[in-house]
Amino acid sequence: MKRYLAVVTMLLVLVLSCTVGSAKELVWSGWSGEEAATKPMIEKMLATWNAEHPDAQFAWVGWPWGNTLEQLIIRSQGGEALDVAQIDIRWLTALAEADVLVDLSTVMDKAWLEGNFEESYLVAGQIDGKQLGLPWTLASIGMVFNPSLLEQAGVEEVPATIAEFEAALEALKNLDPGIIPYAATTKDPGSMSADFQAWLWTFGAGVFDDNGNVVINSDSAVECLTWFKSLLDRGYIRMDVSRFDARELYAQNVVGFYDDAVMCNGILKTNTGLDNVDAYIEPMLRPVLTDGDAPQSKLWGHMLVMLKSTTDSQNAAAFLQHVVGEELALDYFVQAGMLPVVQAAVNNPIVQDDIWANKWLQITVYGRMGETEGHAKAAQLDTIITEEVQAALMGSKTPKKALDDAARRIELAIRY
Amino acid sequence: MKRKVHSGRKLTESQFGFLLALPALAVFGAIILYPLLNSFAMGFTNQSLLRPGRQYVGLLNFERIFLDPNILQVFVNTFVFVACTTAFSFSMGFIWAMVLNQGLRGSELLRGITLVNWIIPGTAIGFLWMWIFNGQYGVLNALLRGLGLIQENITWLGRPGSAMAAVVIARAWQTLPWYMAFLLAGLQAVPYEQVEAARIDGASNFGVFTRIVLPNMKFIIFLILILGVIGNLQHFDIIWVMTQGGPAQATTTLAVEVYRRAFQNWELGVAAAIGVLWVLLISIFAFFYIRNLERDS
Repeated sequence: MKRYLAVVTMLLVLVLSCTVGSAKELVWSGWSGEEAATKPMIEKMLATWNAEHPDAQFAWVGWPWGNTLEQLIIRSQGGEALDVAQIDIRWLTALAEADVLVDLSTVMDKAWLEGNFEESYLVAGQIDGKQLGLPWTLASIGMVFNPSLLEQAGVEEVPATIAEFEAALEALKNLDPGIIPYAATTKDPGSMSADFQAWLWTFGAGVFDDNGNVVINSDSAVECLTWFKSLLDRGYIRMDVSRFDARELYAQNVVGFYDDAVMCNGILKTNTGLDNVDAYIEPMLRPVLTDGDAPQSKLWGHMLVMLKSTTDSQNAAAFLQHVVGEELALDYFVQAGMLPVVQAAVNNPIVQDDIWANKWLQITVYGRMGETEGHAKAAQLDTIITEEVQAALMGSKTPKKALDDAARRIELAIRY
Repeated sequence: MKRKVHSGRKLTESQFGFLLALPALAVFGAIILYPLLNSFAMGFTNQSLLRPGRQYVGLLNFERIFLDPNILQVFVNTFVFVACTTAFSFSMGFIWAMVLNQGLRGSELLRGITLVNWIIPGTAIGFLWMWIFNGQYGVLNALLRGLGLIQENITWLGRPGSAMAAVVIARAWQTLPWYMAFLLAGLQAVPYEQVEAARIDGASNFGVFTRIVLPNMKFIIFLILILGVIGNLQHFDIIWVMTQGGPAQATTTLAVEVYRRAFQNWELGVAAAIGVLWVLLISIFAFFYIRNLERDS
């Protein structure tokens, strides 16, 4: 009997030592804590919170960007306790459909939300009237160019039309055949579909019409894909280029133009080790088909969400407010180039007087949501578009056939 | 001291054997049989990662699979990948096993080094070969340019044919030691007296190989080819890391398609339906494998 009592006492001591006195650990998930350019800021956000809240410590659990949505859905559906997460704005619909997000207006003061964010920013995080996402950084996927290379190639004006763009690409190609004039993404669906959609819009085409009908095989879309393929045929773009590749190649000073998000200058700094990269990178409006057209860009951004599996919604909400707060938002902007959305930071002279940010805001004026993003099956639609555009680029299908097949596959995907 | 005697009926030998096998059967049922049956059942439902619960939908998932204009391409890709990888790694493994079987100095060290490929995780192998075949800054392009064989970089992973060849080479590189190890064991089991007798009778190297070595190794060759085909039919990681099934689905095999349907499209039902077709395909090879094992025993 004494032996049993001793065993039970030891077990109790063990269990109590594991639970009593240990701080509650909450989880913040995402991908920015995995990337060299943004990791220090994520660590700072965590450190500043954890220093002030010993009873509710946050820990980072991250994955590469391309795996984050999948991990969030699988882990949430599997009942894993995740508290808050960073998401790409294009994932909000899928997560809302999975019903794993907390309506933030139920855990945050409505006045605080309305007092700190522009209404349009808040709307970007709403689905069916619920505030499922808290805007963290919003801008556009825009185009950037290499002023140094363009100058060497004799290109004096930033190309504003497709014709001028083609002339600039030709000049870069003539400067050095090793240069990739335009490092368009031609590899991963996560980037290629979105970048191609911006060109579709430039040619007056789209994936869906206003009534939701699939129109990706319209005459304008075929014209756009035919033009895009001609860039490959003329050696202006290359196959097998991901956004990651484009950034790496740009850092090697062998790329004239490419598409990226607002923080690309921060990434260039990290990749090159240069303090000042102004001479090597500058934002530009996407060239238009004819003078007077609106330059196109796709809205891009990150949001913060709270998951229903959270064990402490009060601290989770307070943590989200901490992360988007003015001081950290400004720091995030200075250190990593992430444009803030919280009003106090947006109005701060650090942002207002920043030349890069202001140029990027001119691109964002024309920003619109990607057409696949309103669907829970956005990843599937992006994969279809990417595969069919790739088929046309490689010549295994004509542009018309590729887009007809894309239309048929998209219709099938959204029908079921 | 008196021993306690049980008065109950004695267990028969088979009952006792069943009792001994029960824990293993329970584990088999829980981690293999139940998931397999559940996957089969899931193939006839609309289960999704985006919503709880599932409803029976009959053959709708199979109808959707066959309505997809590109599904035939997936089956063709799977066949090409499996056939090329198995044939390539088997032939290279066999050649290498014969070299190591010559008993040359250092062959034991070489055998150990060869096995390193088999130890490295598939994901790491995928990244290694992706770097070699990278169209912008890959080692292969640098080498070919250095030798003056090409003027411009080739986007190996950006063209259907070369992308498939690249994943086949990477996978064959990974599995070569596995074939080598089995075939070397088989070669070492070939009766030396038969080889010696054939040589005395004037048989050539080719004659010894076709008349003595191959007949003696028929069983092991058949077994490793069947196991190799099954392993390659299931293979996923190297392809996913190197090409994600692209470009334009050129390297999308059944394994990649199942992953996409489940974790990109969130359609567990459709993914399971493809899995059912996939299992049926593997079963053909499994049947021959088991039949051969039984025949041998």
